[in-house]
Parts: sequence; C-alpha cells; structure tokens
Amino acid sequence: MSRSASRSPAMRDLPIHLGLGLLLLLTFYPFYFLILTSFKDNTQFFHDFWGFPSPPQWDNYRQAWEAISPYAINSVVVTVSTVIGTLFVASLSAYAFARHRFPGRETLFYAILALMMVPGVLTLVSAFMWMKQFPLTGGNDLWGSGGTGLLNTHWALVLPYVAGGQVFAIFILRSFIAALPEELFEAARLDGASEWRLFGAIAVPLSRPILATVAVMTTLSTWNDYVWPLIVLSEESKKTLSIGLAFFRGAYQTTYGPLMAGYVLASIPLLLLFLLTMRSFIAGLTSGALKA
Amino acid sequence: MVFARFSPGFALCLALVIACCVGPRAASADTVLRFFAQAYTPEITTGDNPRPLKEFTRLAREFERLHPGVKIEFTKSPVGDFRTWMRTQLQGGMAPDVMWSHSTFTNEDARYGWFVNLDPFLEQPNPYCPPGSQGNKRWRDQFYPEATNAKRAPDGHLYSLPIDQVETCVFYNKELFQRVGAVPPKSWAEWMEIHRKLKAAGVLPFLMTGSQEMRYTWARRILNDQLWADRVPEMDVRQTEYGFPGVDQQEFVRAYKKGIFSIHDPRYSELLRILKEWSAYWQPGHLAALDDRLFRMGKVAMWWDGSWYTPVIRQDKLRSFEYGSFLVPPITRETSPYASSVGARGVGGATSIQYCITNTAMRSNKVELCIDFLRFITAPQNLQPLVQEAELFVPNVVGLAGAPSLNLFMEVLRKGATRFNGEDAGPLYNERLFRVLQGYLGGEYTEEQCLARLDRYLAESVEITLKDNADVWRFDANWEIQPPPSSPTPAGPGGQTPTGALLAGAGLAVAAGIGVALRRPAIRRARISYLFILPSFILLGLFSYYPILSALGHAFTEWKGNGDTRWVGLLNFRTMFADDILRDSVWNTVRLLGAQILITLTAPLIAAEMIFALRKERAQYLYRVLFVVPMVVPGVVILLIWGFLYDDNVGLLNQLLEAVGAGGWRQSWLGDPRIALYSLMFMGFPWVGGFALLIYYAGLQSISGDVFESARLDGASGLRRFRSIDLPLLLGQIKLLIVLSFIGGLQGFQTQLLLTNGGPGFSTTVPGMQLYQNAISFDRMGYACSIGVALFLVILGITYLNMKYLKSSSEHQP
Repeated sequence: MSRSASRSPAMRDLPIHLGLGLLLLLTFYPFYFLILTSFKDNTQFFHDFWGFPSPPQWDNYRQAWEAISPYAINSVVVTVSTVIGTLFVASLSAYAFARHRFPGRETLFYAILALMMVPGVLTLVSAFMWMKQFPLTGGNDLWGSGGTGLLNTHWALVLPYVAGGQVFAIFILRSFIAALPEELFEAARLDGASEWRLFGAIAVPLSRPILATVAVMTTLSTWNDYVWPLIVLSEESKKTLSIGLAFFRGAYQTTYGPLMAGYVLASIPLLLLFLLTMRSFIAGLTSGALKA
Repeated sequence: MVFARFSPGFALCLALVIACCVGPRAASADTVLRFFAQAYTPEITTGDNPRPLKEFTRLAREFERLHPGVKIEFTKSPVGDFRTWMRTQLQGGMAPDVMWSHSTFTNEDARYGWFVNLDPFLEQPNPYCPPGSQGNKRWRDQFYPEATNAKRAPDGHLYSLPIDQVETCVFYNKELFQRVGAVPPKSWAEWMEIHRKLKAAGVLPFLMTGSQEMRYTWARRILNDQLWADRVPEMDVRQTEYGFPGVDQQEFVRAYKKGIFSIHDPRYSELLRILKEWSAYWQPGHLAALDDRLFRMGKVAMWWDGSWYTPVIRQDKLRSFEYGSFLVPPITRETSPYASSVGARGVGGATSIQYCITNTAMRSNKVELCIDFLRFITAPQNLQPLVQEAELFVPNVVGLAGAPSLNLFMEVLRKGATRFNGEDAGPLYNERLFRVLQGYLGGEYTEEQCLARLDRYLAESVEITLKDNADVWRFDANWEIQPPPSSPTPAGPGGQTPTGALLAGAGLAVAAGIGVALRRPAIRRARISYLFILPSFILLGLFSYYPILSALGHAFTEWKGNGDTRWVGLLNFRTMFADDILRDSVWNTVRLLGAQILITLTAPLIAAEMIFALRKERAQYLYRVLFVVPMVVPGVVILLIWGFLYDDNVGLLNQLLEAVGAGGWRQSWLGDPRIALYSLMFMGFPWVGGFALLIYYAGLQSISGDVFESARLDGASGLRRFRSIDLPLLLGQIKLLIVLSFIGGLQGFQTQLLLTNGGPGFSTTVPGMQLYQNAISFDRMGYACSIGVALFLVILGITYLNMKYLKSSSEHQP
C-alpha cells in the first residue's frame, strides 16, 4: 500500500483498468455478434459465423422492420401500461410495508414474497383459461361463460404482468423506503399531513432512483416476452413485436440475419430508456438498500 | 393529493375500466373463416418462405367471389411453442376455424372432440374437381390412400387432411464422393462402405443433428419397417374399410400385449447395432449438432434432409461444390439376417402439411363452409400451383406434379407409407426413447442398460395409452381387437368449472372476513395501511393466487388437456418418487445450482471490488454503466452464440485449443453426456451480470470510509481486508443474491430448452424442464402440477433456511 501510494493514481489503477477492460470485452461480445449477424444472410451465417459479412445485408433491417413495425406500437402500449401499473401498486404496498405497523404485516409480506418461488409454467394453462373465463368481460356473464373474457385484449397482458411484476418491485422498493430517514416523515406528520400526503409528497419523490430501477427492470422483462402474448392474442392488430420476430423461425428454416436485425431494432428503445434513466437506475440499484 | 382521492376507489375503477373497455366485439356482416395455413401462409416473410407466397391469397379471393358474404382470413401465427399455442387455443375455443397441426398432435388430442371427423365428408363428391375426375365422384379418391390413411387417429377416424407429402433424401457432396470414387448406393451395405471410404480418406462422412428427435425418428421408421416386415402380417390384423396396410397404434398395443413385439426381440438389438455402427461415421459432437452448416461448408459429405431443403441448398451462394441426392437405400441380408426383401419405403408422410377443422368452426356452425373451402383448395387445378409455388413438398393428390426441382421425391408417392414404425406409445415414450438412444449412442448406456430402460418405459407408456383410449378401444381377454363401442364420437369439450361462481364465492368469503376483522380495534386503527396494500392484493388474488391455488389443487388430480379432472389423491406424488428421470434432473439441478452460487459469489464481486478500488469517481461510474448496458441483449441471442462457441467442428473454443497446440483437449462440449452439464455451468463466462455487480458495489459503497481507514491503520489490506471487513459487511447482499440464484436456478430451463433439450441422454435435464414437458407435451398436467408444488416447497424451504442460517451468523457483526 505505502509503496504503491508513491506512484501516481493513474499508474496504480492501470492493472485494474486492464482487468476490467478485458472483462468488458468478454461481456460485450454478445452485442458484437448480434450486430455482426444482423448483417448476414443465412448463407453467410452458416459459412462463416465468426467473420465479417461481405457484402453486408442491409435488406435484413428492412425485413426486420416490416416484421415488427405493425406490432411495435402494441409493445409500447403494453410495456408502458405495465410499468406505470407496477410502479403504482408496488409503491403503495411497499410504502405500507416499510413504514406502517399493522397486524399481519409480516405474514402478508411473506405471502407476496412466496410468489417469487412459484414456477411460471405451472400456471400457464390455468391462467389462460382464467383469462378466457374472466367474468363480465369480452361478452362473458357473471359466471365467466358466453364470451372470450380478457383474451384478445391488452388487459390480458398488462394485468397479469402487473400482478406478477409487482412482487419483486415491492421487495426492493420496501427496503429502499424503509431506509429513508424517519425524521422527514415525523416532521410532516407534525404539520398535519395525511398518510396519502406522506406517501405522495415524501416517499415517492425520494424513491425516484429506485422507481427508475424498477421501471427499467419491468420493461426488460415485459418487452421481449413471447409465450404469453402468443397464446392470449389472436387478433393481428393486438399482437406484440416478439411475435413478429418469431416468424423468422420457420418450421424448417430460420433466417438468422433478419431475426438478429429485429433484435437490434427491438433493443433500441431499451437502450434509449437505459441512457435516459441510467443515472437513476444505477443510483437506485446502488442505494445500498438491496439486501436480504 | 391525487392519491388520496384515487386509491380507495382504485379497485372499483379498475373493475369499471375493464368492464367498459372489453365489451363484446362488434359482429361483422361477413362470415369470416379464420385459417392457419402454416408453411403456405401467404403474404408474410418467414424463415420457411423468405419470399412471401401469393397463391393462397389468389385462391381465397376466388373462393370469396364464389361465395359472397364469406371472408377468408389467414391467421399469422409463428410455429415456436406451437404445442402450447395449440393446446390453449383449442381448450379455450380460440383456435382458427381451420388450422395446420402436426398429425401426431391432432391424433393425441382427437379424443377431446376438438376436431371434425372428415370421413363422412370424404365420401361425398368434391364439386370443384373437373367433371369425370375421381374426386368428382368421391372426394376421398383424389388422395393417395396410404399416406392419407396413415394419419388416422387412435379411434380410426381421419381428423386431418394432408394436402401434400414429404420425403427425405440424402444430399451429397459430389466432389467428396468423386474423391473416393463413390456413386449413390443401392443398398445399406454399399452405403456403409462409402462411409468407410470417406472416413479413411479423412472426410467426415455423415452429418447428424443428434440433438433433435427428427432424424432418429426417420431412421427408426425406415429400419423398423424393414426389420419387422415378416411380422407385419401378424400385427396388422384389423381390416376396416379405411384401414391402411400398416400397424396402427391399437394394433401395436395388441402386438405388445401378445408378445409379438418386444424390446427384447433380437430385431430390436439389430436396430441398435445398425444405428451404433452407422453412428461411428457421424461427425464428432453429433449429439449436440443443430443444423446443416458443416454440409454447406463442404466439411461433411452427406446430409439427410426433407424435400424442403432443395431450394435452400440450391440457392446457397457460397456453396463451393456440386451436390446430388439419393433416397436412403434399403438394408439387405449383408447388413442383417432380418432384412426383408421390402425396399426402404422412405419416411413417407412424416410432416407434410395437413389441415383440420376445429371446435371453433363447430361452435359457430361453419363446418360445412370449412369443408367447402378444403374441397376448393384440394381440387387439382388449385392445389398444384399452391404446392408448386412453395417448393417445399409434393402434392398428395393423385396425378399432380410437384415443383420440377422436387422430382426425386415424387418416387415416394408410388412407394407408399411405412408399414411399421416401431413402438407407438404416445409422446411420453417417444421423448424417453429419443433420450435413451442418445445415451446409448453417446456411450452412456450399454445395450443392456438401454434395453432395460426402454422395456420399463414402454410398459409404463402402453398402460397410459390404454387408459387414454379406453373410450374407443376394445380388447378381449386375449388382447384381440374388438369392434369399437357403438358411439365412437368422443364427448365434446369437457365441462369447465364455473370460475365466475368460484370467484364470487371467494370474494364473498374475503369480504366477510374483512368485515369480521374490522371489528377488531387494532385492525380498524390500521385500516389506512390495508387500503395501501389493497390494490396489490386485488391483483394478486385475481391473477396470481387464483391460478396458483388452482394448480395446487390439480396436483392431486389427473388433469387432461381438455380440462377434465379426476381426483387421484397422492398418486402423482408417488409417481414422482418412482420417476428416475426426475431424480436425474434433481441431481443435475443441484450441481448446476452449486456452480451458479459459486459464480454469483465470486465473479461479480471481484468486478465490483475492482471498480470500487478505482480512484477516479468518473471512471467508477463509467464502468458501472458499461457493465449494465449488455442487459438489453435478449437471452436467446446469448444462448445462440454459446451454441456456436461450443460447436465441435467450427466452434471457437475448439479452434482456440487447436490454435494453441492443445488440440488433444478438444471436446464435444455439449454432445458428450459426461461434460455437457459442465459446459452449461461455464456458459455466460465471465459471468459479470450487471445486476449482481451493482448490488455488490452498492454494498461496498455503504461501508463507511472510517472502517476502511481504521483497517488500513491496522495494516489490514488486500485479501485480509476483504476477508475481515468486506465479506461480513456484504452479507446482506450475498444473502439476497443467493436467494435470487436459488429461485431462478430451480425454476429455469430456458438454457436447456434452447441448447440441449435436456440431453444428451438425460444429462442436462432439470425439474423445470420436466414440469414443462409433462404439462405441454405429455398431456400430464396433473403430474406437472405436483412437480411444480414440490419445486415450490423446496424453494420455500431453502429460502427460509438461507434467511435464518445466514441471519444468525451475521448477528454478531461489529
């Protein structure tokens, strides 16, 4: 330590930079191959997986755009609704679990956490039938028969996504809100602020970084989901872009170039979101509140 | 405050919004016929048809012109996860009116009454056929009888109409063949001789995609058909009007029960021997291979594929060799004493395009219209251009020609279907057979072990098949087939539980409970807290707890694909304990989890420490950002890349070993049952996930500078500081990440699904995958639920122990 302190900080950090640089290189190669492959046709893909495409197939991007553009708006609608819904219900619950004392608090909290442990495939079929038999929707009567329920609507995506996504959100929001200084809430309470006001005017604004974290993670898990949209949506005009992408995987052949081009296009909104919220996202995750 | 007014009424608002927005769809004046045409779907770019097809659109418009008020709408549906899609759509009554389905799937589900029996319609004329032609008298006579009748369901009826046929052939590299002076072989023995010569000349003879079931199935069909030819008359006993000259599933079960067919028959050992000898010529790592890349690159001499491959290889611009094709040659006495004089019939009709009419059409009285449309498209003048345009298959209508490039495959139309395909005992057995064969060819099982396993699995699956078809099959005491019961049409869709009623009941119970609870002062005082968590619990109740409780309940039932349930008590759990594959999968998962936890505890932590050690705040931030960005790359892309990294012959890993002179270390990374699991563990190297990294970093940041300072004064630096300060103070983060690893690791099977399918053998299968396969592929939902419940309990238990144990050890931290 004392010996190295005599050197300049930049020099001392050099081995670390090298190490991290190497790690980054390895972590980024999927990105690199994603982009590389997106410019190949199947011939180039199979003949030279690791090499540069010559000539680059710009047409892949046209094909990919044609495949996903009709559905992109649906994905945006579903994802934005899911994020807003998740943030809303999760922050309300997290606030109560973090700052209120009430009978059954622990039990109810663990009842939520336990849901993280249920395998998703387990409920796929029963959840589908339940969407179909959802009472009073899509022509159904009170007993859930006669119509198509929530199927073929974006509700069939958003509501289960919010219900499922809030679990992890509540988990991380709760520990963040619990770590906020009690004095702030105490002072506002003395001023006569209601619980709703404490929540809306103190807890939510102070939790902005962690809310950004939750928003980004919810977006990541919603945006590319495939099986559930595949089975609950049958109308063309309602489908999401992961379904558009899946057409490049045929029964007999897969066209990898346009598929990868589609993944690149589909991840552009995610990248933008990342860039816009990066500071908050990282601040939220590194707030130190995330531990068991 | 806006929340103050909004939140209490949130539940009500939500319900109202849903009720308003999701009204019944406006009925259209036209009768719309929804049609899923699979590979023939027009106007769409897919992997199969990079150039969109047009022909079906033209036919649809013409049909609409002939039938004013009718509209044909082509359903665009990807084929990924098709079985899941098909099951749910049919059970929920949401399927297209007419749809493609794999005939195996259709016939598995036929007993649920989801499809229209086409036989009565096929007896009538097809008015769209030219006057005087065969189909104009009787629709059935248009089609090749053998291939068509091979599609019959266990109850003997035809539910799917095959419009084309598919055949496979061996595509070969003419240059490589010339090098050893080989010409297309006339017999299996000659063919093996070519393999031998090619291998001796240093050429990889044959490309096998052993990670997929398809080519094993082809090989089994062709070989079984010839090996068992002399016993087919004993097995093919049923002579019905439509009966096809071959062994159907009921006849197979009879033959099995009467001991005509047995796994311990010498013919079965012959099949294994022939496969094993042949597999010596397959490329290294064949058990993990997924595609034809080695053949395209000219590195392998032969590739076995279907007619659909013809345009693919022809259009390959980078192909540097001439290719030819031949049909798989028959085995002769030279190869096996059981060889019959029957020439190989080819795979015949394995996966051609066939359409069925669904319960959707039945419900809306569109069956006649659907039949009319099927008659229209199968009329020779309409079918020929349709099938030719796609250039994938040859038409299944007598007298029609396929695309000129597919002429070789026209031979199959004359040859007819195989008579005996081997064991026919449902999807569960098929999957197990495939895995056991993989294990046998991969050297994991000896022939005896292989036969013993198959014998056991077959006995189990035959019983399941018998039970599944109890309504339509009749046997006497000697297992002779009796005529089916008088009402052969299976019952309609099973009665659904009135979920609305159940839910209303549950709602009332909850409301009553709340009413009672609110009398307690402690609870009344805290009612504002309950209002805060109410929206969450309404959503959870509706969309999480309800389906989960339903699954929990079904763990004690036999739950079939149409929704019918039967209480079986603890039977599923007993089955679970006897399931040796599930046991293998648990052991695999334990090892995978161990590795995963080790990785979570090291790689991201080291990276976090490195970033934390940087002096410049800006540099720290930059690295954090850079490590997080790759989170946007979808997981499937990463899996695809690893699949290529691990490839035996062109994979980067083996090439790297070769380049540094360590060619002896080359491995079949995913194709060797002994190391496939370790390869899966290594995937994702260097394992620095953005999420875990940031969490560790946060933990380091929250350790106060004073602690580090005093440690420095005490002379603790480097590893000692890490052990005595960082590690104990990061325990909260470590705990969280371990718990998350457990939860994700015990449920996950995405990697296996995309890379190894659980193989080779059962070497990489995991419980999540067993759950998925039982639920979706094997139609054993009840059993799947019991696996799910067991998984849940295990995760719950481990999480609890983890929290408890790690808490007590962190209690005495400074």
